[in-house]
Amino acid sequence: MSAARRPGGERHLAAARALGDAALLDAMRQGDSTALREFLLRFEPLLEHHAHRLGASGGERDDLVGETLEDAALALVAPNAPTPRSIPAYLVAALRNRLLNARRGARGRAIARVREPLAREAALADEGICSESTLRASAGPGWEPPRPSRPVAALAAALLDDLSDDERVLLVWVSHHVPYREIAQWLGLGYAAVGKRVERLRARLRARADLHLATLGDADRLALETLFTRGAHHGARFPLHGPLPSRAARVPSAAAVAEGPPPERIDD
Amino acid sequence: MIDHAPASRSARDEAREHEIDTLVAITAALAERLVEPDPRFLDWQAAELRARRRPTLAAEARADARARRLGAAALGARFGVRCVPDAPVAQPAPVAGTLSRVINPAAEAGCAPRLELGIAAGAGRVLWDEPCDSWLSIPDDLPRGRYVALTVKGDSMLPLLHSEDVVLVKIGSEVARDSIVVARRPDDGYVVKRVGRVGPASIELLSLNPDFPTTLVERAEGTVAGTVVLRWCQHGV
Repeated sequence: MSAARRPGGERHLAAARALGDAALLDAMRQGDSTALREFLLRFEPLLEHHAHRLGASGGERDDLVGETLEDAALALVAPNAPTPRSIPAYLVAALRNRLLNARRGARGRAIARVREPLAREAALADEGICSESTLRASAGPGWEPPRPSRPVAALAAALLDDLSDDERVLLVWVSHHVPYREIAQWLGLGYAAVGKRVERLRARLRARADLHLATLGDADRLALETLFTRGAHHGARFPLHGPLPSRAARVPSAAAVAEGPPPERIDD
Repeated sequence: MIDHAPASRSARDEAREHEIDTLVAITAALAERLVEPDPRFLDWQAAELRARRRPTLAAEARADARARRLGAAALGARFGVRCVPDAPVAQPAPVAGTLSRVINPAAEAGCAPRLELGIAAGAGRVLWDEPCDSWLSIPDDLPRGRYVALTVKGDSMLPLLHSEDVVLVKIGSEVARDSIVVARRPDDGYVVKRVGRVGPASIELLSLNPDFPTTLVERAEGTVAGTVVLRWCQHGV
């Protein structure tokens, strides 16, 4: 019988949901299975998010998240176990360590060396001829956004290189839409000061992106434009320096795709 | 700067904001992999994600099952009992006879004789005289020794032990506080209980289920048959 269907189950679940992290841990240590259930439900989305950001996908991610949560729950409720200052931070650190260990173990396997290039080739072919929505539809509910292409990763790395550690942290917060009042509280600043910092940061990113784009060849610029025109469904376009052929002319035909990529233009 | 397609100023501004949002997103995605997450942010993010994503019924059912299994495992760890969420795999006993006859050959083969005698329900019967038809393999990481596998009857040890669970008992009369033992009571036969206080003349036997009373047994030779070290649960808990 599910916890919700037991007599008084909903009330217990609501009480567990209302507990803070520390109180939830105390309840788990008292042997409250409703608290354990809430622990799993509360932190599973967080770990799924971080597992995805760390590059784990599909079944690997599910296993990673499930095992991390279960091992952490057992470790936290063990007699005399220390109480972490932040349970989410503890769990994310455990997840990272587990993933790193798993990858170290997998790195030596020859099978991965054989399969990976093949899988990459197949993915590139798919991306070349299918729209993102087609890929999403054909993959079903387990669809996940593709890993960034090389030019996008290079752009992100160039932008990140330009930022200090504090700015990187702020950037992560901003990307998750943390309210300014929270950020202000964490940084000990005023609300308006946070707004100014964020604006400056955004302006720097754009300026640095323009510099980076000026150094690229056509193929890479095209790849980046694709990234930003995907956003054009929501109104976004991308600033590219210098003239480019019209969009219609730049969309390769199916025959061109079959023949392979065009030779890169050599800039004078 | 690129000549943006949208003609109006507000559309141009909007497009520019989207470009920067995209830059923020791709850079932050990389930063998240490299930067050690801030605990305050993670606290906030965990609460946000939990509030935003209402779990599906399937996810709730899965969490229920996992919570029950984890609860039993945590309790088992506290009392020195390893919990295996599967039914045991038995093999026909290569040597037939009563427990007293097969216990040593089974131990030498790394196995535990499985008895049909249910603990907490076998009034009057003696463990050593029970016939044994099947053996269970002892997990490799357990120390070698004499073990017997018994079936639990009753709910007095919930949530750790369920009725029909199979427990692996290390034969021996040693008792330690908070261990789970199989003891013989003159009136009820064998019971599986948690050890409370151990006095010079008596042993306190506690149930994990608060609906069942605490009892005392005489501390004598043969009172404690052994200590539970592992349990298999066919309910997947």
